[in-house]
Amino acid sequence: MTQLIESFTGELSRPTRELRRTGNTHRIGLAAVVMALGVLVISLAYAAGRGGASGQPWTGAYWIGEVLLFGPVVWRLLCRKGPSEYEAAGLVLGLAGGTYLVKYLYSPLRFGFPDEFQHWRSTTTLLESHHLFGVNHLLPVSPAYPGLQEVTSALVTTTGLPIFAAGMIIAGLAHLLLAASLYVVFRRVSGSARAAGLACTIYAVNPHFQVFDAIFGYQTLALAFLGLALVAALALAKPPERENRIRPWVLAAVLVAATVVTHHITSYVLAGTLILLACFVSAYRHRRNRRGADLRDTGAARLGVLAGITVGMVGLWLGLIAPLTVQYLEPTARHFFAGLANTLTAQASDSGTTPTGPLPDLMANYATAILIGLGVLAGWRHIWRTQRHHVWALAFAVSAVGYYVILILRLATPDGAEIAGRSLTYLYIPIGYTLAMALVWLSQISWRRARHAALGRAQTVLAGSVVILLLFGGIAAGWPPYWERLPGHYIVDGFESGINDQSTAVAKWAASTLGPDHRVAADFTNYILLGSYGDQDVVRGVNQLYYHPTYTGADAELARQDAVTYVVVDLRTSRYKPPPAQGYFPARSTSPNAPVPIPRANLLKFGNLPGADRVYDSGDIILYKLPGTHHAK
Amino acid sequence: MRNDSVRPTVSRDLVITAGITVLCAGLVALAHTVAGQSPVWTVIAILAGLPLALVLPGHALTMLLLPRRTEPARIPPLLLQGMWTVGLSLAAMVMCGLLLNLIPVGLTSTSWTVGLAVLTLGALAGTGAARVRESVKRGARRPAVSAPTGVRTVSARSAELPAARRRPTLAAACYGIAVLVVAGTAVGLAHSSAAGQPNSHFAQLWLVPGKADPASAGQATLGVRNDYPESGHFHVTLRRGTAVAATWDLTLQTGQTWHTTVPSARGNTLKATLTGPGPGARSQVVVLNPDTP
Repeated sequence: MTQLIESFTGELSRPTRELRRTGNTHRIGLAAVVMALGVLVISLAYAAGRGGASGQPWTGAYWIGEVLLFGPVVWRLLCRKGPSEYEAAGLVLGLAGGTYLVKYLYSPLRFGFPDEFQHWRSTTTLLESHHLFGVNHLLPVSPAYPGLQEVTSALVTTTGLPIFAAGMIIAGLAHLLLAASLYVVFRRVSGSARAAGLACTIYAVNPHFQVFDAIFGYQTLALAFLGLALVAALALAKPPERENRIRPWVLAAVLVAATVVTHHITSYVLAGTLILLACFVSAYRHRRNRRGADLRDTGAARLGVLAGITVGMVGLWLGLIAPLTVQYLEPTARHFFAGLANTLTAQASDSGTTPTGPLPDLMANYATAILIGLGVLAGWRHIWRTQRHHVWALAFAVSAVGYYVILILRLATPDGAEIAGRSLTYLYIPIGYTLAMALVWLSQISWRRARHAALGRAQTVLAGSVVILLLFGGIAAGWPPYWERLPGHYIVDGFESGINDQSTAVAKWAASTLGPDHRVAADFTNYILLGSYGDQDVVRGVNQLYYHPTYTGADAELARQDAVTYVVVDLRTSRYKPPPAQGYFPARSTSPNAPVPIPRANLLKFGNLPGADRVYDSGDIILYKLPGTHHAK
Repeated sequence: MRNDSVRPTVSRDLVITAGITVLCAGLVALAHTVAGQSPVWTVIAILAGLPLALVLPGHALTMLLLPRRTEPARIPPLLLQGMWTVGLSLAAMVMCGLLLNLIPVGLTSTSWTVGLAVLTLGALAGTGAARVRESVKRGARRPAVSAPTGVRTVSARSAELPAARRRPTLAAACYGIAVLVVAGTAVGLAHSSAAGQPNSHFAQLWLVPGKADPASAGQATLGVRNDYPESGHFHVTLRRGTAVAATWDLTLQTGQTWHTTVPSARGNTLKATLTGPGPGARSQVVVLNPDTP
């Protein structure tokens, strides 16, 4: 009887089963309703943004919505009685569903994030050609990692749904899968539903979880496979059942392969994680051997083999199918290591980045860094005292040190903010676990020492406030940036806020009238849309074509070298400034002499060029065809 | 827990899953061949295609690869089952797509439908064979598996609870409805506000040379598309050099396109001007220079 009760209700201690079920129902139900209200408040803020309202009241409403979304989860996980197994899992999944809804509500009718257009292009090419590994001028490496395209293609062709609907379903499922798989990993490692729920909640406040890692992008699907692969690896580390030796290997291999085929960085992270775990487990077993301790099978060899299989798959895919990945990642890696070298040799870097934005966002950023920095230390303490027998817990604790490395590199390297954000997607897995242990430890202290229930609750509120502050910092550092946190306000060459009907129209016109694969120079928004909807071979790094009032010899030489056939001119770049700390063009590294806004004469000069055609005009957007025959480099 | 009545239970889930797979695949195939624009078949394709792609392959693979598990961590079985079902469905599609890419027809609706169905049925066959093998090994003394899927370990215990206590309570149902209503309101509000966003008011004008084929040599295409939110009157003037070669007065509905073929420049600049609806509408201009082929 006791086992039955424990299997259903988990940690609750009230005597009557029926009362426990009723209490659980009301707690879970109320939490779910409050979370749904949070989503509604955010939707109201978004609607206000689309209606032209802006300013502090609706931005404040957005933040209130986020607190309502996360608050019940944090409260239930930190309060003294704690959640049951079902409640903790339900809260985690509810949070994942709610955060995905927030992302969906930002752009509910069409793709709105620039990266989504890149993957739309690859998927459309697959649907048209019926074969993988096509060409995508906008994101050339994307066809070499066709996992997302395959899944979307399968859903589109079997159901008849449009790509947008299929993409939203797949991204949503991947988001939920990531949360579920991380919960399973944390639950099995920690042995506590509360700790697992807290770890997942802390993971959910990482800067990219709510939006960027939930878009229709290949990393979204790959993260789900990463989580599942970790679950499979955790199971593989246990001694196998006699009748079931092969199947765990097949399961793990399939999930590793799916990750490798879907996203480059995620597969490298998976390989590195498995190598790290194998080393940890091996070192732990070796240490116990030397002490003459019980030589239980810790799975070191199996994890090592799985790590080897992963590395082998990564290498094969990289060598045979996706060698372009090296060229794609090389510039980022070069900047990263150059910045790292400058940091280590204490040389000044002229391109390190510091956080920008409104004062509350900056304060939240810095507070987050301090809280995580201190929280990781507290988490280490608790893990060492209570879980040093569990190798995975130790591995999480050690991996969390990566946060300090990322903090330094964020400030010292070019593109530091972007690299930090992308890295935190993975680092928040061990950080979430370590911080959760710290919160569990601090909560236990507060309950033991609290002389009054009210004091205990106050301390719970304090602990919850820490998590909410992490949430603020995560959103402030995340996506979308603060200047387009509410949708609807057009910002020329903004990321999501720059997508507009006129640019979409010219892209679709180009696809249908000009045909595909023309070399086109354009500003950022038109670059994205012409490269995706327009199916054009859009050109980067030709910003200077727009910098002078006359078409110079250098401009002609640049156009010739890059085989530019068409130049897109968006007259709105002469009327409006680009986003803060950004430029008008895809390379995002405007020359110091780049005018802001761009003078109208700079844009219309192409019409004075002998032999140039003005083939398209929609009022704000003009398409010029440059004279002469251009050959690709 | 062992008796002969378990043997039909062991295979019944495989048969049911196989039957549903064949049904879904058949409906999807029928929908794509028969449907046309029929809304009924569109709905049928969605209702059959979603489980065929997102549920059945993963469910079958879960039965094959995770046949029997003890779950010391007491993770809810529904969470595990759902996670593996959907996760393995997605992974299976990734692997299946790589194989389909090797066949000449590639990744089409037919090949996906057949491929996913074959994958699912193959996994089910493998599960059945594995169960038979295990039951032979154990001398058929015990059921091959204690439950159709390994995740039933805990829910098998739950099955001992009186059925009435496992039904959702009225309170749970009310909370569920409240959540759906609130979330649905949020989604509806987002849709309506996004659909009602102020539109750009513009029209497209273009003048492009003919394609490089003999039939259209010496020709150019002049086109206008109305992207204003309402119908409008447009005036187009075509000049060859300084002389007016042609004019058009157009009334276009929103989203409507007009185009015509005109002789190319032949030594003179070809210039078209569009004047749109409304007072103060700015003229739009396109130009083909005389040397453009």
